[in-house]
Amino acid sequence: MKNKEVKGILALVVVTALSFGVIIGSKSLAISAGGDSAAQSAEALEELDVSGAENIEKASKTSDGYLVTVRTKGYVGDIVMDVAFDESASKITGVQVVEQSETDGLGSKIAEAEFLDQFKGVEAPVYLPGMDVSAETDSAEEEAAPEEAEDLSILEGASLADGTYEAKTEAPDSNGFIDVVTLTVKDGAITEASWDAVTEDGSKKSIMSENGEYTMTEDGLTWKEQAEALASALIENQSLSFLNTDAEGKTDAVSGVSISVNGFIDLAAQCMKQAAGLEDAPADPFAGATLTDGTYEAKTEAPDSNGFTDVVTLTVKDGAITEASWDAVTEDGSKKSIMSENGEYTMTEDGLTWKEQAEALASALIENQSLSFLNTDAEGKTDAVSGVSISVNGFIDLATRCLEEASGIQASQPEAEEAPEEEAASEETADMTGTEIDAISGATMSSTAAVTGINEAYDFLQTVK
Amino acid sequence: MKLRYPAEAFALGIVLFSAGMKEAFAAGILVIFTSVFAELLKNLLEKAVPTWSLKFCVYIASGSVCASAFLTGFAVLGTVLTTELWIMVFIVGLLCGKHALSGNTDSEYGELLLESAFVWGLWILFTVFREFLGSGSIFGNTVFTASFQSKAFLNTTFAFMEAGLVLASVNGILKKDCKGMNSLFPVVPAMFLFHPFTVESFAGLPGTVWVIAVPILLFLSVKQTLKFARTGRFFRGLPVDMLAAGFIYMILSIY
Repeated sequence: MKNKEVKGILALVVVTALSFGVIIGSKSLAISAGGDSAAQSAEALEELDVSGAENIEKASKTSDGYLVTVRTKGYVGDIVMDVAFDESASKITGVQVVEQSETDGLGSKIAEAEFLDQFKGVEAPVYLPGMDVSAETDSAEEEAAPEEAEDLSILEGASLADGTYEAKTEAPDSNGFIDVVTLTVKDGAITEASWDAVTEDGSKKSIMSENGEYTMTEDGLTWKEQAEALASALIENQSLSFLNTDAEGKTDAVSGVSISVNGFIDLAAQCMKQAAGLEDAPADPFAGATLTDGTYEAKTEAPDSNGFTDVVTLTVKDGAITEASWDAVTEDGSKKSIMSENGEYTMTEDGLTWKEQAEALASALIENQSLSFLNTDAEGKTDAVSGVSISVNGFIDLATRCLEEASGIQASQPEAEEAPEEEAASEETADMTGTEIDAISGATMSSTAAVTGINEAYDFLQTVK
Repeated sequence: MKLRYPAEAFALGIVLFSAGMKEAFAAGILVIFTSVFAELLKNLLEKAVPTWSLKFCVYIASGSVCASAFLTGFAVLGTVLTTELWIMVFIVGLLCGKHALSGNTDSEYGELLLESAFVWGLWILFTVFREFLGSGSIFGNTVFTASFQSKAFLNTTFAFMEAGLVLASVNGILKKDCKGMNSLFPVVPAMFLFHPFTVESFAGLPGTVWVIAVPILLFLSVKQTLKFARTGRFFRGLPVDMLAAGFIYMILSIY
């Protein structure tokens, strides 16, 4: 009996000791498996002065480069990251999220290897698709805002022509959103208005705010509700002059609206100027041009991501477009129109097939004898042709080339001449050093916060160097 | 018919790791691994040591093995296991040990693995559904997003409900019930970790105690009432208690 008690004590001691051993072993295994970033292995040789550097908590020179601890504001709370750079202070060698309280299953994925591994060995600064890394753009836009506000007085009392007008921002904002405002004027009065913002992947801010993926305040109106309140107020007032804004672009003119409304004012003003004839709607470069009879064909230079090469054919007879067709062909000769008829290429469950939509577009072009009726949104979609839900940018580009050939007018040339600054800007973007990083799907805010923090660490090191 | 699988451990595991398929996939297999380990250790020491030593040994070993396995496994997957979660998985290990010591498994490893596999499979299935409704993703990959999706599906409310539904479904398939299982073991630790509401008027310890105490008291009250409810055989006990906890969280999260 006593012998069994001793065995019991011995077994307990052995099991406890082994348990501690297993826990300690697993901790070191976990570190080597998941946290092997340079941030952890690097030994600080010299501490860097971070006083005056906003959001930088700690920085040091290590044996193989630099290590910066940065705090940035995430979607839910603060995100603290250790960012390790090589000796040049421009190449990121590792990123580790030390602290975060982002949404489980969404924003919390910024701490996962799948996201963080993207930063290993890349050149800073880093940016998300559609994100502008240059701070100058923002300040330039902010400076331009008051000028726009001053222009609003010219819209007072202006008579508006009936129609639907749309205006959108030229480049995505820092979160990758392109703002779009649409106004409908009927009998000289604004009858419909909408404001939304769309990301490159087609996510709408209104839907994201409804789903709780884009929140403004805990208990206030969602972004969508605020955008709708603004649009309703515009319809009610038939003017933008009631929207007085403060330095941050916020207004107290519409109850419950706490977001910055400058973007809405700018775009709505553009729509109203178009309606009032003060700002030209995109002009038709082929208006009045004589088209030479013949058959013209244009196709994309390279296949798209699905292997399709778009082809548009126009036939001009007696100076008018009499036939038009749009199709897309794969390398092996399969036609998208036939595939869509056979159900091998489907767009929607119950809508028109791709072929029917392409035919509807071609018919609309013949009917209008112009492309100017095809107004598109940020995703390249149009509501000008009933039943057409596909992106029509490809059709517009190729049909424009056919019309250029038929008329002898280079429609794209004047645009290039008129917009040298835009071209320069795009060249600048192309030359821009840095690395594009994929955001976590459904967690744009958290991804942006992480990227911003890393860029702040990079900026800090540049000033120190 | 004895319940071979550790229902309480699975219930807590599902509450903790059911927002994403990846976590559910890993957590399920780790709970099964810990259960087998606990049963094996119990059988190994049963005749050699006195009962008090056996209990301590099984609890300590299964708790630490479970916590260590989760820590290593999740690190390999690249998922962060916070200290709070690490403590919770230690409790999952304790519940595996409790199940082994209860004698329900009777060294029937085959049945233990078979029944646990059913729980694991349904755990993943329900999690896929929740992940999709919550974020439009499956295994972290976005399938498609639509307006009906809401991240509310990823909250603890639906985690409790999933646990209840998974256990009831497994009971239904295996024609068993959760007799003798105590729902307080998985529910109370989960309520310590996940709070259904926050208190702004008094912060600090009193506020924390309040947000933990309220759901626990409500749960105890509902649990008492459920004893007299005519619930289906497969839902009786642990599954319906988990569903009740989910509804309590749903109501409290309004505040």
